[in-house]
Amino acid sequence: MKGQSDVDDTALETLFRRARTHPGKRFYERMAQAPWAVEPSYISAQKRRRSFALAVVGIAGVLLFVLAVPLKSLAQQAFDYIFRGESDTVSSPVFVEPTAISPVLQDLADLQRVSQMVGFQVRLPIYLPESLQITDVNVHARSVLITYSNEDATLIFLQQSDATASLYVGATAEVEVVFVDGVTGEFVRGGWAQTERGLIWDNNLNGSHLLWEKDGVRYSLTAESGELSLETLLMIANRLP
Amino acid sequence: MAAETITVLREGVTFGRLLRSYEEMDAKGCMTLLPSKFRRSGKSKPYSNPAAFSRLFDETHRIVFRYVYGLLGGPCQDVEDITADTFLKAWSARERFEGDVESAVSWLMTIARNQVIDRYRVQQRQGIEIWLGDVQLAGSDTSPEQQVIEKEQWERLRVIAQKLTEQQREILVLRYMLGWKNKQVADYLGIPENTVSVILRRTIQRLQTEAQRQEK
Repeated sequence: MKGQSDVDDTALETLFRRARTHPGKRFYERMAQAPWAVEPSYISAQKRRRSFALAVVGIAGVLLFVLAVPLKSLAQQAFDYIFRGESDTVSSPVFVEPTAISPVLQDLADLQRVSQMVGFQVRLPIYLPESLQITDVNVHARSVLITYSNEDATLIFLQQSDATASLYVGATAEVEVVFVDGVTGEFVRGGWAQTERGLIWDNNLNGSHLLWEKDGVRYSLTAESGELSLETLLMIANRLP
Repeated sequence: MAAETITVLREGVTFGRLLRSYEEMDAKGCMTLLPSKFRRSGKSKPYSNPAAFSRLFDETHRIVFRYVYGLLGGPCQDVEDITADTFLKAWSARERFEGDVESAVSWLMTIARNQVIDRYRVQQRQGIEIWLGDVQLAGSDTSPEQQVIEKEQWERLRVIAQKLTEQQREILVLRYMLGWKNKQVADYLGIPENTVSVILRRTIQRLQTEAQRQEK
């Protein structure tokens, strides 16, 4: 262990890297009114985070054309946890915001409280990329959504015991079947871009999802920025206690 | 019309996340991580339209915010105001800017530095109590003892930084808060790289001396 006087180049880098310096909500609200913020694609990082927390738990989409797809076609496109549509466009999505309770997870006692609320043992990763830490916990019905963030990345970890929803992806999404947490899971990279014509799937957008199910609990590990590789996501998922 | 519950990936264009770690910034150089479509070397008035400027903002506002935080020392609200004003001024002057994104970062940081000078030095603002006084360290997976040591190092650094000259503090900020290499710092400030090295070495020595003094 280093002594107190062992302040060197590396120690300074470590200290400053861990210094919490983030613009706050007030800043992003002001910048949302800036003259250049005219594109619908511009949403502040905080708004994205909040909207995703709501979206993952309870987005409902009315997709008439999806239901018109023949059953045979559906069978070919559906995986266990990911549902691949016939198109890369969702022209009229409907978003339903759930009622969420958001306790802040402070210690293991809180973890037990959250576990009691959702009705299953919540698992927290014992491995995380450096400096990622819990920044938000949302509980809704029998699901818990834990957000880990650092200055540069956000990781979303959703656990739910009554999962009936699939991850809906575009027709051109490349779904990969992987072995994770001792079971078979699925991985996809890309995202839905919000445009005037609705949601459009783009494989090149940042964002990657790893999904699997174990002991009756559905897990979804999402690197919001897409900066975390599949290998890293697997390392996190494979070391859950 | 029937409804189906789906989970939708969020909208994902987040250029601002690309400068993702200081190790990478060090290893590859701060700007090499920008996507090729974001590079506009040689293009005239590259940020004149709202979409391009919006991307520039997404990409750089955290860097500018961190830089201003280091120069000013806090409080956070003032740092936010100066960062916001920096981008608003840059927006006003966008037609006059020509260069690639690396130049744009320097341009923004120069505007930010002038903002700090204009608003606080000219008004002869009273010094803040403690440099970065409202900045806390994020948790880590190190031992509790190590975390205590790091916290003490952080507190000591903040006090000592208060006594540094503006140039010394700015070099500290550029090198460690932004994770730049000495050469990048030197290029930005227009001083020899050797001078940067010397100032950093002296600052570290001062920290070590202070730590040893306190241990006695």
